[in-house]
Amino acid sequence: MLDAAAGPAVRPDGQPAAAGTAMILSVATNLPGGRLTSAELAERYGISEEWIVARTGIRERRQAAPSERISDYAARAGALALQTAGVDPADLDLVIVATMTPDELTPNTAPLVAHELGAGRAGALDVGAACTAFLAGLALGAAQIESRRAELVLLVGADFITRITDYEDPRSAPLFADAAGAVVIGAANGAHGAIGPIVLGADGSHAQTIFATHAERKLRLDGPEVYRAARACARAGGGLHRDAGKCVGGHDPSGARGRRTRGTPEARIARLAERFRRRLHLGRRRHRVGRGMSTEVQDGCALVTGASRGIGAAIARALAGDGWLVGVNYRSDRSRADAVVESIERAGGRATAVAGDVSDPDAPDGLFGQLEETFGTPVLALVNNAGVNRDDLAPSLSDEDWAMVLDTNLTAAFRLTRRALRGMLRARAGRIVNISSIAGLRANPGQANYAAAKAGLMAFTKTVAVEVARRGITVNAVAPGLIDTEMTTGVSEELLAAVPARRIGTPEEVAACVRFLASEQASYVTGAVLTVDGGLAA
Amino acid sequence: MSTVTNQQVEARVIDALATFGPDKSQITRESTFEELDIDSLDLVELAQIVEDEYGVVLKGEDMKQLKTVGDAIELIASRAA
Repeated sequence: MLDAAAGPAVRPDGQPAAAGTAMILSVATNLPGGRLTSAELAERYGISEEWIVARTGIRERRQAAPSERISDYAARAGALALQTAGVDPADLDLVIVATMTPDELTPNTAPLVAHELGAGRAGALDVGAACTAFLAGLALGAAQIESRRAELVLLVGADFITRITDYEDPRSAPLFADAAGAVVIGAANGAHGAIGPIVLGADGSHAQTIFATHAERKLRLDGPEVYRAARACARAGGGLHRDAGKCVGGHDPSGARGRRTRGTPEARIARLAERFRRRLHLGRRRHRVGRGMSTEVQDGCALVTGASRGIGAAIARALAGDGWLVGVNYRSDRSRADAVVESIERAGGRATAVAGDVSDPDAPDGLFGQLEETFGTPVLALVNNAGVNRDDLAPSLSDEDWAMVLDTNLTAAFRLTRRALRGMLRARAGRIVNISSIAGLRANPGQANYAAAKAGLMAFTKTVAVEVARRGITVNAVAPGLIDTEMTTGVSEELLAAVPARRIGTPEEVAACVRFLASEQASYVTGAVLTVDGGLAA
Repeated sequence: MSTVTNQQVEARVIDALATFGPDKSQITRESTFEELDIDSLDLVELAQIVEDEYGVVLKGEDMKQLKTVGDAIELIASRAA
């Protein structure tokens, strides 16, 4: 319970307690599906996309739909953080939501989140300190635990900043987005992993450099001035190293801040958090295996082939959002694979780009070796997504085009699956998802090679699924229909008109299905072919 | 490669088989895979463990011939020697 009265620290059970240490037990996010790209903003302002990217390091930002509520995002991020930490919501002592964009003036967001989660005995309050609210919430939550006034605290940072963004201002508008992230804070055993000292500072005399009024509801920002003031404030705080200025001034549009790289404080924090999360998972795994229950598959890493663009890139991002360490495989386009890795890291995930032509018989060993070395954990999820097409009517289809499509779309999936099963059989856990196509179910003239490969992939999926089912490994296929990617540009109007949903699908809609099939929740789904086609094959 | 003794192989094979379900005390050289409820997938996994440890590649054909734990130990030891 949150104990508001001053006095000697007491534990929830009323016993006095010595001061302890607090640590982050889990990290989770919940992001809107909508995206606002820098290219779109650049077009709106008549400037180049590169101008925005060079100053912000941001190519696209998430944006919630007008009907969505911040409390729902906060609750979903919170639920995932609790699930990851293995914490029962009923055991929470305090729920803190750091937000400056609550759904209503009152109530606060935190009580809604606590109610939604079933945190029946928790105190709940919002911290509205804008950019520093999450840090302030962390200081508050950690202090409650250190003083033993609380044992478990859920802290959520959630904002729909695009709702108060001044889109008339090209310098500040590209900086803002909508999202929720959550951490569970609990007691640390000893100093290892403990949250260090947090020095909060403030200087109200600079209030005019960043403000939003009730009447206007627009965030007015003098970026360079905010950055200078924040750095000066951090230095005056003493003891803070230069990274603090970067953290505080992270929204600086002046260009003073470099592009985000692996070495930035943000990435380092994300990595540190990942280490804690993994340690926790490992503990749970032993426990669960001991009880004869299914293992926690996210202890391993995931390999997504052909992930530098389109559906593969969306799958890589979705799996990373679920906590998977992701190998982003690409054949030739290094820069786009790097961009996918970068977007995952910006969202707090971990990923690495791995080169390899999957149709090369040596590719599986190379890819698996590289990933297992990078992440220090076996590949426990494989998504065979890489695919090519060489369309021609059967009478004129060449041997080369036949072989090329079969090699990449079917044979490569077999070799990668065979390699993946080595580790999965040992681990008694694993998820394989093969990206097939409705072309394997429904005739599409000109695609005899592609259809044969994709139908073969479905039959392969079912057979392997049955072979390994008793080892806790699932093998499923996802069969997308018309999806908006480079592969389908120039698709005929007639084909589109045949889609019952009357629209083309998005890579994210396919990725969401893969994310589910790769999750713990899909543990009893195996040998299935899930069509994602707006009803086209129905 | 250093010489692998029959005893070393026996110990490793029995350890591996025990991870597939049967109680270690039940497993002798005379036990048949059928008695131990070791199925074809288990044997594939055993082949992979053997390949990783001794560099001996056992094909599905090889494994199909095996009836008892002793058969497996003899085969692996002869290949590894």
